[in-house]
Amino acid sequence: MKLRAHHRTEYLYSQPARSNSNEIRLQPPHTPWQSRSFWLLKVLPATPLRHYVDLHRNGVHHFEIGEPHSRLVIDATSTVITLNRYADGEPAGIPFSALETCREDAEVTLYQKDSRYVRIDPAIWRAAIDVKGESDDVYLTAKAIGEHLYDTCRYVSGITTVNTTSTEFFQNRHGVCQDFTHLMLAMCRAMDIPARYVSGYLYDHRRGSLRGAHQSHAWVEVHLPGHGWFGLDPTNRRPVDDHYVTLASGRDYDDASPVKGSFMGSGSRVMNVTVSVEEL
Amino acid sequence: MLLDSYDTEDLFDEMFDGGREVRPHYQLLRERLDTMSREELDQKIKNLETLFIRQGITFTVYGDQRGTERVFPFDPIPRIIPADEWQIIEDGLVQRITALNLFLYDVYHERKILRDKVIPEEVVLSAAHYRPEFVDVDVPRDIYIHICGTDLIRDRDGSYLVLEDNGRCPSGVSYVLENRMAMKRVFPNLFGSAGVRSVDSYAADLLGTLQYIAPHAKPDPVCVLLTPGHYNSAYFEHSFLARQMGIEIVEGRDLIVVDGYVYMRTTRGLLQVDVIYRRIDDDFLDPKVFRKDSMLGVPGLVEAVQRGNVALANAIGTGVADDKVTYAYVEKMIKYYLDQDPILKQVPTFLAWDEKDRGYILDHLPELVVKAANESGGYGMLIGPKASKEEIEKFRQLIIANPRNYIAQPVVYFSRHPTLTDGTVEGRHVDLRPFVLSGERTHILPGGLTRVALKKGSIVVNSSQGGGSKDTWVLHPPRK
Amino acid sequence: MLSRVADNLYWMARSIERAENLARLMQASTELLLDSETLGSRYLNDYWDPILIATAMEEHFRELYPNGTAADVGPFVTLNEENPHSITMCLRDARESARTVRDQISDEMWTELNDLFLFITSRATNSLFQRAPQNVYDRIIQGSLLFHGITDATLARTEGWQFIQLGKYLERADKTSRFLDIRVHGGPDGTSLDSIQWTSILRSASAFGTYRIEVGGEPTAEGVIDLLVFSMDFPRSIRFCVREIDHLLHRISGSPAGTYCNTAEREAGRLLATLNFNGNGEILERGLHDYMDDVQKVLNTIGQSIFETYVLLPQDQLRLTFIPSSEQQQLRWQVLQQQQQQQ
Repeated sequence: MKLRAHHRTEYLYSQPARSNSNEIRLQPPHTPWQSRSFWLLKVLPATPLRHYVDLHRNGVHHFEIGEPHSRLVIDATSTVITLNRYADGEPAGIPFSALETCREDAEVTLYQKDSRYVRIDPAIWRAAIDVKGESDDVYLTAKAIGEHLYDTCRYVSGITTVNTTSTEFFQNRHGVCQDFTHLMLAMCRAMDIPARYVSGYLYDHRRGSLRGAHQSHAWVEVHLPGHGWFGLDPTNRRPVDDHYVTLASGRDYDDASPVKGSFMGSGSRVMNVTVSVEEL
Repeated sequence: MLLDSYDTEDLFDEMFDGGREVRPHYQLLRERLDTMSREELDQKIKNLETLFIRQGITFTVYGDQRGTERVFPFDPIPRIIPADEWQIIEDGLVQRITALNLFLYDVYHERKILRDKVIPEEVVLSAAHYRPEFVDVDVPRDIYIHICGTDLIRDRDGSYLVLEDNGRCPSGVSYVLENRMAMKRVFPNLFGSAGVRSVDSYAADLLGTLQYIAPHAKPDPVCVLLTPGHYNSAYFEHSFLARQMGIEIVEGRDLIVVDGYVYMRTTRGLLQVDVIYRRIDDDFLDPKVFRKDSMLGVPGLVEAVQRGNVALANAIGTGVADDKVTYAYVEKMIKYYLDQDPILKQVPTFLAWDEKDRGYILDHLPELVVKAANESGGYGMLIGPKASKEEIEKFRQLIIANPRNYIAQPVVYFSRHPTLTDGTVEGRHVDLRPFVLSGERTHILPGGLTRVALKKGSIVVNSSQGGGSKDTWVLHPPRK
Repeated sequence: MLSRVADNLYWMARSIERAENLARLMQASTELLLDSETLGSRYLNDYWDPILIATAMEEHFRELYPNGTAADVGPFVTLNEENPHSITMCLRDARESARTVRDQISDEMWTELNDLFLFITSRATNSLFQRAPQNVYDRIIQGSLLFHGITDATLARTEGWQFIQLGKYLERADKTSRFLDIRVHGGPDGTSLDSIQWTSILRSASAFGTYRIEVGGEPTAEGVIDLLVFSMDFPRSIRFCVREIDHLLHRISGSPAGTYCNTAEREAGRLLATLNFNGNGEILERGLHDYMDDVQKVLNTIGQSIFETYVLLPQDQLRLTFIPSSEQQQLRWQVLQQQQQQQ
């Protein structure tokens, strides 16, 4: 599927901001099931851009605007060709014992531990055990966790914030894709399944039927030894197929957030974000 | 058959590859042409010209007292661009125009790129079209070039090169639309089967772009097209576009500025104008600020723009970005503002103001093409290998006298395209001017003006100097 | 709508209507002449002089042809590009006006007008005129009629359409009044014209056929005046045209019929009332020439007032001082005023 995404973030400052430095993770990486054919990041006020690759192999662009300004626009356009990771069916049949093989792999074990927003606390562990039941299938367990969250949590915006942890969401069960993802990560990791946070876009071909399609979206990828990473979207109860565009991944939102910055200033700030994804 | 005796003369040809085999994307056209006799084609052309004259699809020839109108010479063999090639052009242009717009913002605000010495300050500040009046003036949505016509040529290996950007008042888009209409009459059956992308959405996209830049994001803004008047060579295009967009076409005298707001004079009284798509150069926009003798402009317009009460497309001062000296730095701009490598390459450029470059230019004049930095339309140009000794000497003196105003480039290569000539079909040099709209999104019209130098061997494609045009077919990606 | 656009639409219609009327006048006059082959050359001059006077071309004719003869009149009125009021120049003006407002008229209107212009300026037409001037006049009349028909069939009934109609009817009323007046110059008064001359006047106004049906018999002064001045139904009668003008002016301003909000409306209302209550008796009593002179004056006032109300906006008059007038602007206004003075 050839998809074009347009993602625009605008900050309006009531008092001029200074020393505004930002990290942007909006560049779709090349993966075996996604190739980027075009990408462009425009920042206003015009300023030089630089980039580096972070620990999680995300392409990070950063910039700083020193002089006072009352508006900041970050405008990213990308065109990608996506393939369906599940074209050959679901990767069922991998037993939990297989996870032993990644004990030594630091790049995987990183995603089995607590992180800033993902906490494996006892209540979450207990809930994960209940979902897993007698199953010895890694993929099907992860999938069941996702479905469990879809069934037991409500998708409501305005209740949680970017700083809400998995524990807080576990308690009140109202939140958005970021919260669904964090809690699913916590439950997967509680079961020792390597699971990472992925930020990206979702193309809603039926318009309005999917959650998070007109926003910056997030989902979970679990690592299946010998098969690699597979995406599951607990917010929509869907496997992550060719309707999804990956932008960045990490232990949680903190590692993968699309736009992260700080500035000096006082007064209030308004943020407007628009995301659109279309098929070409 | 028409193409039987066609000779590529081993030059890069759009239709035939090195082995003189027809390129796959031209196969259908070739088959169609093979079924047509010369007489049939001639008859169709004649009908078309009659149609053009009857509909007044003409440009005015300057210097002719009676304001003679001519038909823009039109060649019926279309230029075809396959989807994958077009994708590169489109991506490259989006990248390029984005960088140019960021550059203009920067030049009229913090000037970071100058402070960081990526581009020498003197180059920008000495540009003829730099407008100090607009330093620290915010333009709506921070877009300066809303409509750009970028001229592309093809290198010997077929890769597309940017020859120049036209970021002031680029013209020619109406010919793209009219040529298409004409071609549908010449090859009515070919369009469906060839999978040619439509160019119909241009007017709607242009209007969307204009509405997007309305001051204070005003809903339902009043947009107008400002023309120098019907004696202007591009008047047909102005009225064509205004009509397609359903907006008023106004002359300077139709507008009036009262207390910093712009109004048009209507039969009902004065009506406020929010966005002006102006087809008048900066110099003539406002006699109070620029050329005092301008009779085309609107007194007080610049102040209204500065106060943010009206938006202009393109903004004032964009000429600093399509200056031929600035051109030499566009690749650096792309790196600086976008942190990317340029997708479309450009022609190596020597700058006469740089002492080292100047020495090289003066030593190699007979091999180089010298261009004045601020001229367009093919004027003020020296084509070294074809110039006489006197001409070369004249340019040597001009360059020494005013180095800032000249650049030099190696003789560039223009691809050739089969073109109908008096007797037969021969290769003629072509370029390509795609049109880019920058509003909420950046749109590239899938097509463009293919200009063709009708004189054998000539590379001057300007309509004012013996150029014609072809319809440009951009193909849909092949179905899987 | 833009004032300049309204102005151009108005003049486009006036110019083409003027060309059509001139063509018809020339056609009728040339035919009349064929019936009077025995006339002496002195009489020939007397014959054309009133036509040149009525069309305001006399001075130019004397300038261009100091020793002009009757044979020079046809080419001068029709094709001469040095005569600013020739048919060719009227069509050029019409086309120029149309060209500046192309986005406001239909493609078909433009194409027809452009065709007509290309016809009149072509070399072939020049030689056709030598051989068969009637064919050239036919084409011009047809072209104008076609143009108005196309306008009817393709243009939305918006303000632009109203200004086009205003131009058409004002010009038509003016020309009908002038044609009625022409032969008066030839004789001591209107009543002495013979039926051949009345026939020629009817032909100039394309009214001969209608006359036979509506009035019948040999044309007489009373009958012709009834048809060309007072008819409610004949589309080239002065009363018909003024009624249309009055209606259009109210449509444009939105003021109710019977009231007025500018000079044009007041004058049109007044003229219409006069025409409604007068008959051929009043005209013959007062003299056809004087009566027509008054009609033309009122039509001039209406034209001037339309310009002042809708083109030269009152707001502008206050501010004109700080607008450096462009050369083009001056040129256009001069042209306007000249044209209006001649009516």
